[in-house]
Amino acid sequence: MARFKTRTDRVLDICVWTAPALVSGLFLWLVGDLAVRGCGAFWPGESEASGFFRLTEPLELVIKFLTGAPERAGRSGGIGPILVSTGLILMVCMSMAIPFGLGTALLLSEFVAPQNRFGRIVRRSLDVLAGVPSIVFGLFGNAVFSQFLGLRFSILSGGLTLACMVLPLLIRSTEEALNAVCPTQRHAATALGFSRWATVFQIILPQATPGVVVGLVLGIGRALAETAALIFTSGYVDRMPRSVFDSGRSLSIHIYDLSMNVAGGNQNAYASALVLITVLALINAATNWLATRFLQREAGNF
Amino acid sequence: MANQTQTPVPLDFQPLASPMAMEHVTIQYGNKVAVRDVSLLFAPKSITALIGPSGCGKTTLLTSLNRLTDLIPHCRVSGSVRLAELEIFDQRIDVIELRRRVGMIFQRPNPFPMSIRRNLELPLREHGLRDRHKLAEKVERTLTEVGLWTEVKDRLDRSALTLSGGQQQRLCLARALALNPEVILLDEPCSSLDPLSVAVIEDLLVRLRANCTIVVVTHNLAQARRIADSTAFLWADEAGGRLIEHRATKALFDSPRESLTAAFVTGRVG
Amino acid sequence: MCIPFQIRSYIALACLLSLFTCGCGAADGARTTAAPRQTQITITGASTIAPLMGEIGKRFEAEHPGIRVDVQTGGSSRGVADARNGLADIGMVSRDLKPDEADLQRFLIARDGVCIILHAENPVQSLSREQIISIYTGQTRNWKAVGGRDAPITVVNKAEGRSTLEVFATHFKINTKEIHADVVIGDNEQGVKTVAGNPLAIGYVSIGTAEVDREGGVPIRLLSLNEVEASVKNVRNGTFPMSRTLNLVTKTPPEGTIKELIDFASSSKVHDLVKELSFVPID
Repeated sequence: MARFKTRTDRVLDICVWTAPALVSGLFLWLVGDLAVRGCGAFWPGESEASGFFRLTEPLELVIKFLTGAPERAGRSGGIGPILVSTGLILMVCMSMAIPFGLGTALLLSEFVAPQNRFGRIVRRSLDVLAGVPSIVFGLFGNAVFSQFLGLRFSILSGGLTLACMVLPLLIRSTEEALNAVCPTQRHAATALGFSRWATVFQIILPQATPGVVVGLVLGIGRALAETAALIFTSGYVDRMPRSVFDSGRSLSIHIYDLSMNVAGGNQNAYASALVLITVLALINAATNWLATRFLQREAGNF
Repeated sequence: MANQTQTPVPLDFQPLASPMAMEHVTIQYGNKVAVRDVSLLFAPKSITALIGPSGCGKTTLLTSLNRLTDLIPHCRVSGSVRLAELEIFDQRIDVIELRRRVGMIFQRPNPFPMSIRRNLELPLREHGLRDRHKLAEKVERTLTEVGLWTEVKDRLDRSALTLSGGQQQRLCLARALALNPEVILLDEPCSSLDPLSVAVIEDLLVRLRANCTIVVVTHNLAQARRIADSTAFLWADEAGGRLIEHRATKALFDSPRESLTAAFVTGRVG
Repeated sequence: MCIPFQIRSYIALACLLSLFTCGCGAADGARTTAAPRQTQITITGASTIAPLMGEIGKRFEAEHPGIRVDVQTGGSSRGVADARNGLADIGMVSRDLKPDEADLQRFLIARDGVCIILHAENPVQSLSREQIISIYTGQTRNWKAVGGRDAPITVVNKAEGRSTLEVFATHFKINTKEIHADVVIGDNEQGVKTVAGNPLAIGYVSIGTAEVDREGGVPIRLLSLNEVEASVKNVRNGTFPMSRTLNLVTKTPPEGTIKELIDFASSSKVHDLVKELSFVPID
């Protein structure tokens, strides 16, 4: 019996270790593949420069790629305007989503009882919204922002559409984070004569910040990865935008277009994908760093 | 033990130790009656202990004294609860001021996850004290009162969560005392602490009695005997918790009037 | 109430972002009042034509300072709809117009032809429509069945969403889900390479690419369809069956700048751009 048990244990051990190994292996494979293929764009071909200058060439190519305008339908040239458009879209999206998301989450978790009918309806509809395919948001954004509000194809209209898409995610994760704050904290604050708002702003929200940040990072990730919602709203124009009222192509649309519609665009598609992954990783690291810094500032040094 | 060598410091405030009184108080959660028809007087400058088996409504009764019951959905309180002459369940009263006057300490220490200093300053700022100088002074005084000053004066800006359980509970007490309360409610304040910390807290409560009305819920009969001037015994049956007997502590323990009380204090029931 | 650090950062962040957005808006307001609206030409429609039209637009902008050509995608039907309801000045349609779309003005700017390719050493010289369908749906798995050697067939297919796949599937009336593929590839060059490297493979690519590669010595054979030779010439004159037209459409007869742009897009000034995207320019 004991022998049988140890055997089962061993099998289970192997299973438990294989799953994460496979998952991380898959991830490494994906990133590695992307890095190898993407870096190809930055590897100098048979060029006339030699010796020391060859070493600086990849760096120059990277800078050129990041700042230059796309040429020959994106097969050569860089992604400068596309990076700017992507940044603007993200900024519009977050400047709408953060205040609305935070406000709604606060309302749901602090001012609406869990069994309340209104709260239940709002939560249910948010969950449904979070599962709606992004193309539906794209069509909605096109109908409402681009046509009804007359924003046409513009970064503003794209950013607003993304905000609608990210909001459910942001609200639900913020709400979870607020609810996860220990109820004894609320009791302590109330017993000390904190008003409801003071309790929320002084005690609950600061403690929920890490969770809010996680939601934010997820939201940014979803926004950056989005193509379907943007193709009908922020559009396809790969020129440097003059303002948020201009149409601008996002990085993910650029990648999609290069790999699907442009013959010979694969090389730059991989390079752009590498940039996208790097940007995501950087945003992730930056938000994490900021969050820990905030927390240390509040909690003191351990 | 560092605290016992410290000379007791006189309190820096002379609050009006107001009496609290409840008359025919019934508390319900939805349709379930937690406490039925309790009338009790909490005398000023004394410690009243609430004892009884688990689930007899002691804590519920305690939380109604500063209207923390407001936080619980579907919780209804009927009857009259008065702080001095103030009817506290009157909708027109200033609840925030009520909670300043009636402080509360919980079963588990619940300091905010911030620095020790901010734990004390934040409630004071909430109640309008902004002057940095006065704040610093207040922090030192209250920490000295609870015997924590010498232990933490060098690490006021460290997280309160780095303190031990007993220290955290004293910090919570300091946080409540900083607001000059007239009544202090304690919900089994020592149940999660080590014996040394218990002694420190009990000692502190006895000193605080000179200026405040203190109500303490406890599971520990010996503790009630040690510190309480009067003790109220509650018991729960199907109809909800009710008050069996409220007398001077010594009288309740040594010559209880009710047979149920006698059975409880001798450990035969509960 | 004093405001903790985190909350202040939340507020600051929100303010900064909205200020930024407003700033951009104000800058734009100034711009739109300075420049009249009609200098912007909006084109929407087929995603196949969009990269080409984007490049044509850039060249047109270079020749006509002050004019902006904004190209958007969304499919041929969208091109038709947007041109009709005025959302776009010009629509892009990567197929012939349907009878109920006859109200629109149509301008052919290029053609897109797809041909079946085999390895040059493969003895099979031609395949019938039925044979190709049966190979791609997985019913025929051996070259012997279609008159070749006794060896398995390697079916090379394009990734879902590629326009070449669309042309192929439309021509043979195959549901793309029924295609039984051994190798799935991305673009034309990759397709040519795959077939050139495997004597048992069959694939399909843009005719423009295939012809250039064959002339450059790559060992591939372009199969005729319905007795029509697969060549750029036959795509251009419209006789090669597996091809489609790339069109611009407008609601009303074009005038002014829009007419200039349409003329420009069908002129020889853009033939290099057309060829570069593996399409066939018209005369």
